[in-house]
Amino acid sequence: MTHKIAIVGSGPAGLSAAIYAARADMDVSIYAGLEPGGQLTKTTEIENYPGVIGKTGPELMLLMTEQAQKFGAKIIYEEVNDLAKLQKEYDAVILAMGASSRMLGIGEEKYWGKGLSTCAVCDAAFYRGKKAVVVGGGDAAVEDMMALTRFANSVTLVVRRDKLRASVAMQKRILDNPKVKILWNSEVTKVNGEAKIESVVINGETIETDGLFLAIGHLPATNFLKNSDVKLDDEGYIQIGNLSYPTMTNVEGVFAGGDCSDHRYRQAVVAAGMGVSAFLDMEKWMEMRL
Amino acid sequence: MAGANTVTFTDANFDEQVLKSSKPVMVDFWATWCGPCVMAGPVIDELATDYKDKYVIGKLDVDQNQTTAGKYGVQSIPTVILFKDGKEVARKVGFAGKPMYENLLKTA
Repeated sequence: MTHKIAIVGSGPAGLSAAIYAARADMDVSIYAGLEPGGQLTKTTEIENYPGVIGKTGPELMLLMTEQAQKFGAKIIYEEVNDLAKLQKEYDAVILAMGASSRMLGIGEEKYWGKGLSTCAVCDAAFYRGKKAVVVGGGDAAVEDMMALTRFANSVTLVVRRDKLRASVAMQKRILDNPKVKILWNSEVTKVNGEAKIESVVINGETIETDGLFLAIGHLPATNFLKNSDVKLDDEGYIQIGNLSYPTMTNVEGVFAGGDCSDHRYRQAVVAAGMGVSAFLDMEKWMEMRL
Repeated sequence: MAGANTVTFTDANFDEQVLKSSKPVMVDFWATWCGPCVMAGPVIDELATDYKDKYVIGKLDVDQNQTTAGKYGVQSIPTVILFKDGKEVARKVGFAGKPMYENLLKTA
């Protein structure tokens, strides 16, 4: 009998699990979600994934997808909202939804496609000769700044603290750029504009801008699990740690890996490894049970 | 990366193939540098095949066709716009998943 499994998520964790499962002759369905390929698709060159040199994030994710498909995994371009339904249809489920962009929570969502973006690599080119504001202080914020300075006339980085969290190597790439302005100890508290973003309020001061790019981290994409039996921690990460199957959740036959269950490392390489761990535990669980 | 039934729209053919089309047309505004667009591309190809009798479905590269992208105020990609009788009837910014695009198609 062929085991039928569902993998929720199509980033490094989900696709690594899928490659292993498909090679083990399982019938694998990958639910790709609303960001097929995951966070790496919003980046440029990948410099820290062993064995990958001179490739961009999207290129790496296309290859991983192709590799999973080559062994027979099917990709379904849908978002999963109901775990119970998957549990009925499949012998086991691997949760690997990763994380989605954190928002400011000041009602900025209504400006999606009207100046608000969480993917500077995608949208920077629409800001040729314009002004943009980036919020954040990590590597992702610096990468957004780099993408935008290629097109925009001026780019302001809004940093909540008095220093950047970004690695020194990344910081060097923007600190001397004349188009870059950095506002320390600052926060965006309001977004203004009729048909599109026209200005933002920073520290009580209104600053004109055409675009607002958010790079303030990610939250585990586990909202749909809140009505399920799967245990989440206070921050929404899936709890794993079963003694016999370290990647199994508290629900039998439901495993998890990658950023949705990792509040500590959150790296593509780690996610890929966790995806494989989830698969191996699931395979063992099936042998014992089915 | 286009499917057999996926039409390539451009500034040059937009008027003819989209605005003057007798069938409703779904246009995916994308670019090669946009990772999420590239990863979601296969969905547009699937839809173009599934719905080839009722709709014209295709892609427009915003990099090569800035006039059209500018005209429709596309500022973030992927953006999908549905046209009927030469007019925009629906728009979805950001990848929406196959079922959502199918719902979008039903509005035309």
